[in-house]
Amino acid sequence: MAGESERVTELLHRWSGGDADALDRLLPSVYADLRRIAASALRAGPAQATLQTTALAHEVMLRLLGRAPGDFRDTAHFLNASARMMRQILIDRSRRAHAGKRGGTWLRDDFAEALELPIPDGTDLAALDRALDELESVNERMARGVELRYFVGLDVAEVAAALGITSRTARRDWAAAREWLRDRLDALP
Amino acid sequence: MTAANRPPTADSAGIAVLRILRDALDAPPEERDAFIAGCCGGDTTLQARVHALLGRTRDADEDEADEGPAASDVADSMIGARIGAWRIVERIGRGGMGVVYRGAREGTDFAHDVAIKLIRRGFDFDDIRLRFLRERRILARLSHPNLARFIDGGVAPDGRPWFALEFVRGAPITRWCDARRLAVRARVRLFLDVCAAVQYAHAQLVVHRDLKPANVLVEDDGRIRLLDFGIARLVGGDDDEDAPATTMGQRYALTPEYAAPEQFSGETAGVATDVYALGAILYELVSGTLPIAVERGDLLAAAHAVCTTTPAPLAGAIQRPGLAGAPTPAERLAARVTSASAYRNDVRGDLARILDKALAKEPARRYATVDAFADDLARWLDGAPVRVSGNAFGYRLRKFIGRNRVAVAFALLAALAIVLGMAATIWQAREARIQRDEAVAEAKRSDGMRQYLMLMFRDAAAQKDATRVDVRGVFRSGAERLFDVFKDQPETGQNTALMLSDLYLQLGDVEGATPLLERLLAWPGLEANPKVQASARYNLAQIELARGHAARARELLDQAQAYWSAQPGASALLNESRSTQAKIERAEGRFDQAIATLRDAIAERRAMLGKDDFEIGNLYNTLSNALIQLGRYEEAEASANDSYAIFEHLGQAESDGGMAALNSRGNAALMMGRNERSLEDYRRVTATTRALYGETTKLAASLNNLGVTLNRLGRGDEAVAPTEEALRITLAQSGERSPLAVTVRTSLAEIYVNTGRVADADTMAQAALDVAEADYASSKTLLGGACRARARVRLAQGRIADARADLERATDLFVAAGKGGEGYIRLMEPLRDEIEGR
Repeated sequence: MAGESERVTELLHRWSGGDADALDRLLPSVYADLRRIAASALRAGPAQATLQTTALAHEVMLRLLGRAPGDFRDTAHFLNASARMMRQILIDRSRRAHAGKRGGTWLRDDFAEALELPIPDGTDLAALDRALDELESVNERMARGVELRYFVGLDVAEVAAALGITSRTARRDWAAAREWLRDRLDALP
Repeated sequence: MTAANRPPTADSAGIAVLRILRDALDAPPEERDAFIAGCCGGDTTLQARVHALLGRTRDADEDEADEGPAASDVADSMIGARIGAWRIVERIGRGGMGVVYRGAREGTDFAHDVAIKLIRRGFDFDDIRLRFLRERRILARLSHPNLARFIDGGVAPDGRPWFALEFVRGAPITRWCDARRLAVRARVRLFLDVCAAVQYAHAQLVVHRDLKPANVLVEDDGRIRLLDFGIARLVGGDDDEDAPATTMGQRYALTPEYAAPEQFSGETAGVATDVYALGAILYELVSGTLPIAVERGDLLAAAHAVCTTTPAPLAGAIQRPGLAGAPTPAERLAARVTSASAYRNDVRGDLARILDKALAKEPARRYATVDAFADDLARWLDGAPVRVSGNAFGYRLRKFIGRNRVAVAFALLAALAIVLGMAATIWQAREARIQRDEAVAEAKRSDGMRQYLMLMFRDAAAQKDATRVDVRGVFRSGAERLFDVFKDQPETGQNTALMLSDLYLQLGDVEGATPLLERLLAWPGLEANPKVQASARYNLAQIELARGHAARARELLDQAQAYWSAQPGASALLNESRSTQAKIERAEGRFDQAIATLRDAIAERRAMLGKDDFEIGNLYNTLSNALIQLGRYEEAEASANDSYAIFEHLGQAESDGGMAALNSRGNAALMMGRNERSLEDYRRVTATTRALYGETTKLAASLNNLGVTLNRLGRGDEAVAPTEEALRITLAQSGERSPLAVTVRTSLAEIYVNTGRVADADTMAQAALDVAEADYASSKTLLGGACRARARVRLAQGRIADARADLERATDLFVAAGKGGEGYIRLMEPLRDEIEGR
């Protein structure tokens, strides 16, 4: 029954004290909540009473990811940055985990599962990373949408709000990108 | 990475496919083919690739295609995996740190589905594991005909602990009542079963937190089955069709239609929260509408409505227009076989007042317990006056806590004060009540108060957000500082210290309780507070006994009981202390006295309650075991019969308690040479365990008993099949290094010897011995049994010296096991004679 929040506080201390494993435990604990808070703030519009929780979410996230305060203009910016950071974290992690293993692929691991991210099971993260780079070269907006979905866990309407586009556009972006990615990742040796 | 340094292997045709596909989606559906053909300029390969992808993007045009993060494109690698005896079929819930699957029995025709819960992958950390295991223990303790049964637990191949609950099929209570056109009174009567089940769980310190019709199912035969008890606390159930996303970082589900106001503000759910949800369910059962109309999907609006709107008057509610698709007022009246005016007459007045109280906005103003709520409903059914307003005590107490809660935000000391203050208030209220009421009702109430206290502490435990203080830490520092803080108010301090020690014992934290009790008992002037002194001595006696200090335990118990015997209101406390007394007496070797004590305790408790309860059933079974130990088998059999009869009467014959009674009866019969009778009981235990729990380690254990019995009866040939089945189940579910595997292999080795399969017996005995030596050297009887089995093998092989060595080793181990080893030594006599005779 030890409370969630003092556990988080303790982990933050451990992590800032140089205990790298603490981050593995922190992110699953707080990430889902943080993005839910941010996403609901986003949907509710700017002037809602949730401003304070959103600010708190930003603060925690910043501390987790080692960014300087004031880096984010608004919630949409926060979510976009979170998506990028989380993508980087997951790819780095799986690279580290498989460093030295010859011929190993970097699969979506337990950590991604713990984060409740809707990345399909068994996705080769390194291949996904490369495919997203390619996607970005064709259509940056589509790549951002996939990132928000896979690495933050937003749904279509939330992606639309975060990118400032209509739901219809977000939905078409997503459908096209999803099928193209699936094809691309399946085609790998 | 950016486009500039992307890998040179980029598939330019693939990029073209993507561009064309995306642009095609912007065209109207009927023009897309033509659009694609135009873009591909006769490149049929490219065109085919675009079409293949387009065919899979139908959802791009659906307005509601907003499948959310839990989209179906997320595969779950657990589906199809095997856990224990079950194959995972589908995921039925996920959230927080747990995940729940439906499992189907592997490989038999036996239709037996279970709900299996595991820690989610990636969350398997030590502290979460501890919490999970604690949850599992709590649920395993819940045994009630109206709760989904705990079936089995174990460790999955990947190391995550799991447990399985019965998978219940039934209809939500609201739908069930409507389908059967139950009148209002019949609905209330059925609802009393729901209350009983919730109250039972509260007594086991489990709060549901997410009661709603979807969790209150009724089976075809009218039996109520509550789902998700205890699960709601750990698992969000995000995927539950009736639960919207959790909000604001809460880790458990919130169903706005049935959630109490305090749940929306993120406060902790406790008994009062369940009372509210029950009120909302009953309101809906009676009127066919919700007490407060809430807007699904807009949690902010729902929170506002629930926190500020008063429930619509019950009498008029049935005429309120429902949502689209909901039954009309006329249909609702028909479903209750009543007319508008008859309905109004029925529900107006007392029933409406009862519901108002259950649905009060402030938790403090609701019924303090589910029992009190059910009590008023029963009175209403009987036409007796209800007690709606008789809850000043609970109200004052909660007010006190409410006032103090604000202070919690500031500092640890404030947090400490509230915990201590709460305990003191509860104590005072408890004292007042004990004085006011006679002893007959005391057993029930003192138990209720303890539960209530525990739940309050649980609530306090979740106040962590404000304080960032671990409540265990609060308790610990509370214990340390308590003696300082209350220097000048010794009585409050002493009462509080006792409460904290109760709490520690409830949490199983002996290390926390011991120093606290020792300091409390050394408090100068404690004699002035003899009630606390007696209870503190009793608590410490239990600890000392568990540590093997029987003499010290006896001394403390005698002192406590001497005080209680002289107090007219303390008969329940005295009665509850009898089973500890019997334990001490057994530890002292005074077995006859222990038996007399247990008999007296049963008679006393029965006179006090005026009926038998679960505890009396357990007492009889304990008595039966003690009698067997003394060789008084006739009496043991009678006690086991009494125990079983009580469980049967309580409707719990098919429970662990009932099976334990049958098992004791089988043991007694076996000892008296009534072999057929004994076999019959063991067979029933096996069959019932199989029917209740399916192929589990529990079944393996009872199959093993059956095999051992048959073997002892010289029916080794019949013993082979059940014992081999026991081994198969054990190896599959507990693994080869489990203690049960050692036991079953030992049994099987001895059975093989008797059936002439000496080589197999040798292998089996060796396997048992290897594991026992490596992993369980401290378990004398387990290791001793394996030695005995090998002695039998050696004897059969004609290696007499080796057989003698094993026998001596077994004897030494059983002697070292003390009292518990004596029976084993006796049972080895024929083997010894045979070896000596060679």
